[in-house]
Amino acid sequence: MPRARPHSPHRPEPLALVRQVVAGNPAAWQRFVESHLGFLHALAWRYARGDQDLAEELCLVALEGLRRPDAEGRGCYRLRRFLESREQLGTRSRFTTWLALVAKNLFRDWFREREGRRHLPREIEGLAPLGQEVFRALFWQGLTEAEAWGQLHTHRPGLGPAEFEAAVAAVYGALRARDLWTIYQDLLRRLPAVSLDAPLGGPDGPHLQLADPDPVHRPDARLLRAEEHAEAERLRSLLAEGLASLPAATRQVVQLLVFRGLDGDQVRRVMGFRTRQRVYDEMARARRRLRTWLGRRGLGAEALEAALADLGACAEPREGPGSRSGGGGRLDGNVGRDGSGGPGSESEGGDA
Amino acid sequence: MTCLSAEELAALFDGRLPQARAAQGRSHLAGCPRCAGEIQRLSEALQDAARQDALRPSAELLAQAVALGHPGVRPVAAEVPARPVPADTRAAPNERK
Repeated sequence: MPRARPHSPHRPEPLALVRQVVAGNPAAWQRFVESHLGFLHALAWRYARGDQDLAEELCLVALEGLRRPDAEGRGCYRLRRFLESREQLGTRSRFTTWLALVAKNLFRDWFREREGRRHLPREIEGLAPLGQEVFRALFWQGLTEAEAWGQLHTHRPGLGPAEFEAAVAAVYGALRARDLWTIYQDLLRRLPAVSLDAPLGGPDGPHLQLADPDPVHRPDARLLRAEEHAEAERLRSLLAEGLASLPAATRQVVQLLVFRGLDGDQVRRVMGFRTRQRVYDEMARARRRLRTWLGRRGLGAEALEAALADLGACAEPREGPGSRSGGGGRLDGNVGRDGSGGPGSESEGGDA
Repeated sequence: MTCLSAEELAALFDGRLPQARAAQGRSHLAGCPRCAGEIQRLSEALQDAARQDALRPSAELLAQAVALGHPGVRPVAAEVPARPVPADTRAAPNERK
């Protein structure tokens, strides 16, 4: 089975060792640390941005998090949950994949605590107070929806389930709008000032003049200009519709490959495809369909095609840690750009 | 559908989630920015970590990390000496070959 990442082929998954650690065996803990500290350190390095002391601190934060007891005082509840999920739900991830996910979340929590109060993203500030609380519970505290309900219900005895559901929907709605908007800004950055109403004459056509050839000029600033904002809105909603019109599997591939920046093999595994070619076939289908869809609506189909191809190309492995906050086609998470800029703005995946 | 747990996300990422749940998970990802973001950041973290092959944790860090096991979450008597192993030779975990 092809693997995207080197992984020691000589050892079985270290489940026996994890079981011994969970059982509280100190010698097992030492072996566990010796096995995984290098990996944790490499992970932490990215979040520490080259600060050696901070990287070491984060390693200890993650290991402490793995040892943390649950409410009943039973040790290592995260590792315990990993084992239980394997046995009960049949989740069979590599241990290191799980470890990376959990460590990343523990790093994020640590940064969050250190940074203290954070600013809500713009989209969320616009929501009612209940929506903001739901957002904090889901994304900053990392609660599941059921847990968030429990917590909010305790604080707000009058809160009904329907009201809560509506607030959750509003939060996700606001974040989805942000996602598309980010994508949109990227498309505009690549195709600045293409008039959407005029036909495109070709590469030399007058409408392909760049309004702002200066690459350091941020698309955000340009978008503030009202008429371009209106164009962007129109293109944004058309693109959203176009994406929604794709078959589910195709749309999922586009999302993972282009918007989420997974590489081809990772997308293949998530989608359960047998070959990576299937990923690229789906991507090609998405381009064809979007081109037709947008073309029928009078958009510069060729230019958009080029932009999408460009986006697709940048789904290949990226450069350094700095790339995640760059203005590229990848979405910077759901709560990114909220001013913190650090890993503290990561969102949560159930490691609460 | 509820969000995926860390265990399920990791298994989905590795292509090792039972089929029925994987199908649910994929359609959930399509509509849930939070879980899709988790997959994205997991991918980024693993790709970055793979580039840091040359990094080795220091001896001090290894010692501190091992010592976390001794306060004992469970009251199991320490069976190993608290003294850390020499890190020069042991501090290079072979997660990657």
